[in-house]
Amino acid sequence: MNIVFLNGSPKPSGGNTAIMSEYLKKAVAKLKPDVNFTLLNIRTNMLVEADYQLFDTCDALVIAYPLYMDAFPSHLTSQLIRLEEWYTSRKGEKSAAKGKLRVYGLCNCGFYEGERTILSFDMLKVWCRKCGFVWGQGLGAGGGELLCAMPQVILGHGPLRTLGKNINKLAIDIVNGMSGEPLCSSPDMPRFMFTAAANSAVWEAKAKKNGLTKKQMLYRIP
Amino acid sequence: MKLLVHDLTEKEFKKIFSSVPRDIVILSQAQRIHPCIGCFGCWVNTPAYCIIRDDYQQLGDVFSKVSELILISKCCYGGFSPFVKNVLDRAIPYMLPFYEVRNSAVNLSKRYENRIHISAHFYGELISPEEERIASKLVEANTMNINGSGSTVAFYCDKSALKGVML
Repeated sequence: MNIVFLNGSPKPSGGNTAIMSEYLKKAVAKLKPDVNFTLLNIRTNMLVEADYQLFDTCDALVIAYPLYMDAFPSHLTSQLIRLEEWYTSRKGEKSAAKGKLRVYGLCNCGFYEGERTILSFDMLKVWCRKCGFVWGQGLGAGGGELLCAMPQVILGHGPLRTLGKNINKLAIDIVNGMSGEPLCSSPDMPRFMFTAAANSAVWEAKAKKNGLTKKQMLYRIP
Repeated sequence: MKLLVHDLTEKEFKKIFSSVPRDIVILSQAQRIHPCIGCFGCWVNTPAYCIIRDDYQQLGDVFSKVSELILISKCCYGGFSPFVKNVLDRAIPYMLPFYEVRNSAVNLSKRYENRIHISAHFYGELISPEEERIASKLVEANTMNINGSGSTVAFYCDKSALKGVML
């Protein structure tokens, strides 16, 4: 089985998108030990025609990205447009991926509510229809910053309990070539606790490392 | 002040909008813009300023002076075109990183006090009803995101139909 991961994060490394992708890879590899993963990065360069050939032979394409203003980051939109242009061209119409390639979305958002990612999956569905691909399923995780801020928390436990279950469900659907409804999760902790923890343990702590006080974080350009 | 962000070429824009009111600031692809790199430097390193050195370094400040944000964009899968989306992505220094519950959901709190009305104008030859639904929901979500005062959305079958847009 071949799975291509398209990393739509603008971060060079170590972001929440990469962490989520690793979770999913491990879950898939548990079910299918002989699986081959290929990672495509579009942070610095757009994909070229040679990369598209990977889509002809892969069983699933996972598009992983952080949620920016309720949708994909802009550079991912550019890449999706380029792919659509190619797959609707004379050359692309003959591609083996047409009508076959199943696409999955893997999205993390900083907000608590994982449901905020659903709109981006609806967009991916439209993109799939335009390219002639098959929409698989989307997995949206709320509280994305927790992934980086709490590396000691094991997936499937504590605040990441539901996310762990959803990752396993998505892995099963990918391995079986199935489509399904979006799998969304919020951190398994009360909302007020998440808000307080994110504000102080994530943002204030990061600013403090840069020598900033909370008052300085509130700065307004005069 | 009104802020107009559009993805038309200069030639197309001049042809469609022969005169533009003086209180409108225009952002187009003529200005140099890099994508947001998700570093959150504008929140935890250089508050209110983006660390990317291009024409959009103080976009949060620009947003703070705006009463209406007019977006003219090709409809891409129910979303904004890359340039217009890029401007929105780069506007995060307008907000603070701190979460608060607003409209029964966790949202970012505001760095500035003004409230923005978003007027979105999507054009495209074959915008499906599904794309219209997504785009309407997206603008609603964006408005909630920036704690805006409200939003309106309109769709046009081609660029020339934008002539009717009141600036």
